[in-house]
Amino acid sequence: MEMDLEKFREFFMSRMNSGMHGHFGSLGLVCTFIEDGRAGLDLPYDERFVTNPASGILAGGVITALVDTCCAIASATRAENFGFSPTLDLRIDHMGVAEAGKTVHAEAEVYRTTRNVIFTRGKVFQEDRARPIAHCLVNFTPVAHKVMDSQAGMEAQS
Amino acid sequence: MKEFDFPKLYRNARENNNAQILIDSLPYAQFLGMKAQYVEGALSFYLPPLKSNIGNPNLPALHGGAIGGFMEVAAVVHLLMELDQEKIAGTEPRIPKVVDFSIDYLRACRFEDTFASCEVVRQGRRMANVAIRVWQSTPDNLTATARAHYVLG
Repeated sequence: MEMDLEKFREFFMSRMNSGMHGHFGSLGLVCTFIEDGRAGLDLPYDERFVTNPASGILAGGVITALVDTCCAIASATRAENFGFSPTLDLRIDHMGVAEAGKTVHAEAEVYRTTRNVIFTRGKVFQEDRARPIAHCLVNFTPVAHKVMDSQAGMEAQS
Repeated sequence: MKEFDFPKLYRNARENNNAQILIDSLPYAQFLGMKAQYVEGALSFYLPPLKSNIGNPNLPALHGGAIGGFMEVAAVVHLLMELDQEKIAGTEPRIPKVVDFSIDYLRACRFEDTFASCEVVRQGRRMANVAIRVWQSTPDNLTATARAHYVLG
C-alpha cells in the first residue's frame, strides 16, 4: 500500500485514539496535528511527572521525552514510507519550568533533510506560545523502512 | 501543594549515604521505575526493563525519551548526593534545576537492564556541569552519553 501524508495522519491519529501502549501511552501524549514536516504533541499535566511535590513543577526529563517524540513524528513525515527513525542526538534548553496543573504543548518542524540526517527543531510552551519554556534540536538518522513498517510497530503496541 | 519536607529528606539521604531515599520521594523517578545502587561505594542508577518505557516494540527498544528522563533524574540525584547543597545555597537545600541537556544516542537501548553513572565535571558557584553515561550489559557498552548544566541551590 502506498503511504501518503493523509493516510499516515489518519493511521497515527486512530491508533492514538484507541490507546497507545509503551512510553507514548504511559505519558498520555496527545497528538494535536500532523502536517508535512510538522507535528504538535500535548502532554496533559499529571502528578506522576512531577519533580518536586511541593511545587508541582514537572521534571525536565519528561519535557525531553515530549520533544523527542514530537520531533520524531515530524521527522516521519519526511522519511521514506513515513517510517520512524532512531534519534541520533538531542539538545534541549530550558528557559522556564512547566508549571503545575497546565497542559504542556510541543511543536516540531523539520528544517532540513539530507541523505543521512533529518534535522528537526521544536519548542515547548504552556499558556503562551510566544513565551516558550524550552527549545530543542533533535537529529534523526533515517533508516530504510518497508512500507507500513512503522505502522506495524504501532499495531503491535495496541 | 503536598506535604513534602525536602530538606529533611535530603539530610536523611546524605547522613545515611542512601540516594534511594531521594528517588522514593520524586514522583517522576518512581514513574520511570529507576533505582539507586552502590557498587563498591560508588553511586549509580538502575532502570529495570518496564513495558511502560518501550519506544519501538519491533526491536524492542526503550524509548529515547525515557532514557533521557532516566539520565536527567540520575544527574539531579547525583548532584544532590555529591555536593553539599546547603553549603552552596547558604539556605535550605533545593532540587537542582536543569538549564540545558545534550544527549548522544550511541545505540538502541534494548529491552533489558539499563544503568547510568554521573560525574560532576565542574562545579561553579551557581552552576554545575555534569556528564552522564548510560550502558547495558557492561560499563564499556555505552548506549548513550549526555552533558548537562544545572543551577544549584
